[in-house]
Amino acid sequence: MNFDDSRLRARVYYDYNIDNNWHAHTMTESDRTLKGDSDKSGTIGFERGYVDGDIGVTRWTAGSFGYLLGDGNIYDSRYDGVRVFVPGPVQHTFATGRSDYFDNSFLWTAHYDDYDYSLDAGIHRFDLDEGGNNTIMNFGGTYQFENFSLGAMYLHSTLDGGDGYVLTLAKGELKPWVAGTQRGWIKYYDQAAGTYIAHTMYGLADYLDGFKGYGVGYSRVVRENLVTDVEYYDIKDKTTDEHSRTLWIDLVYYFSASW
Amino acid sequence: MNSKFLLTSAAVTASVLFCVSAQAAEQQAVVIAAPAWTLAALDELSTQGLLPRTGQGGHVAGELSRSQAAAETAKAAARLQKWQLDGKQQAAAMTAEEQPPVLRPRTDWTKEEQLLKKLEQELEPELDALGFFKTEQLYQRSRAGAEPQRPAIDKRLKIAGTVRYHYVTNDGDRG
Repeated sequence: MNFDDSRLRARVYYDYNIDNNWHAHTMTESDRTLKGDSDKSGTIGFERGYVDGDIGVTRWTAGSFGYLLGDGNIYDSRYDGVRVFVPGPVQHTFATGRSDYFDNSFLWTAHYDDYDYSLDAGIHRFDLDEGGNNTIMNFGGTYQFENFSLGAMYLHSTLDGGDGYVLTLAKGELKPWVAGTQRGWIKYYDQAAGTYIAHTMYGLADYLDGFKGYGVGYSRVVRENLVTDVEYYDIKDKTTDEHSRTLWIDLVYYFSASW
Repeated sequence: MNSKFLLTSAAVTASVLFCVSAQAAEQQAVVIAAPAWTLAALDELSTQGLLPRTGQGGHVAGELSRSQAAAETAKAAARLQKWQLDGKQQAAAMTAEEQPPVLRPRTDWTKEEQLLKKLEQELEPELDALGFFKTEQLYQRSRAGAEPQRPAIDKRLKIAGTVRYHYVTNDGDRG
């Protein structure tokens, strides 16, 4: 089945400084289908609502906020819960909460940054809507050399005992506030169905029962705060061997104001 | 969104806010001097020309608070970035005293780049409060529908956002 879509989306984030420590945040969104197979009406809705602030050296976030796990290879969507960030040479993040994808969850990630490499690890338990649970573990690292970065991530799921890995080669660094900066990347994925909950890719991973294949993308800052992005995915369902190919093109404008 | 969950979150959050407000106020009153290595690093950056010299033999005289050290680090980072972007053309327009250090690929980072990275890690909360990371993190986290970072500390309200047009075409089975 072919699926084509053309949409215009606006998001506005509000950040209210309560006492120079605690902040209250909300986000409103309007998403409208211009042409294609989706039917977004453009209605404005509240999509986020949370507070964050420091308690001692830790940073707390509570409410409904966006969450990225495993560089998006595990989860990239809204999360309703509480998150605690603990800084240090090794940075730890703990969270508990729910989402549209699971009833409850307990998350732990650790991150270490050095001059030319970084390491990540995580253990995430999800209590699933349909019953049972899935614990996803990930470990990986990224090495920076010249203007390149080379990353590898291993994933394991207790749901089906499945494994997965994602390899990434990227060049450049995108800075939306600097015209002319650019970034290109290529990734190879091989992930069992249990190793992801809501994948970040624009390809159709979330519709497949595990997948493998590649994605390639290029982004460029056309002028300050205006970024264009092209991505292409060619992935295959690990169960049915069906192919899925996706071409994504976008143009994003960034803005901000403060009082 | 689950209303019971939201109510529970709001109650918990209000309790936490109440309990920690006194503690936070107490902490803010304490000036935490930057560690000795931070001062040494800032001195080194002054020597390399990344920070303007304010005194004979170096930039830093005596102790700095962590927030002051963060402000100096932000200046140095901005200056380094400008040099990297403008390259030789910009360097040629500078006076001899303003000439940049020779910048090398990341595998062979200069000492000042390493120092800046380390300072950024050490002073992350203060730099965050200055808005140092906000634009970059806004972009990096925007695909998660995530939130922009905190505004400068003296700003009461900040609005930020994105307007995105996209076209996508799929050739495959959506299940």
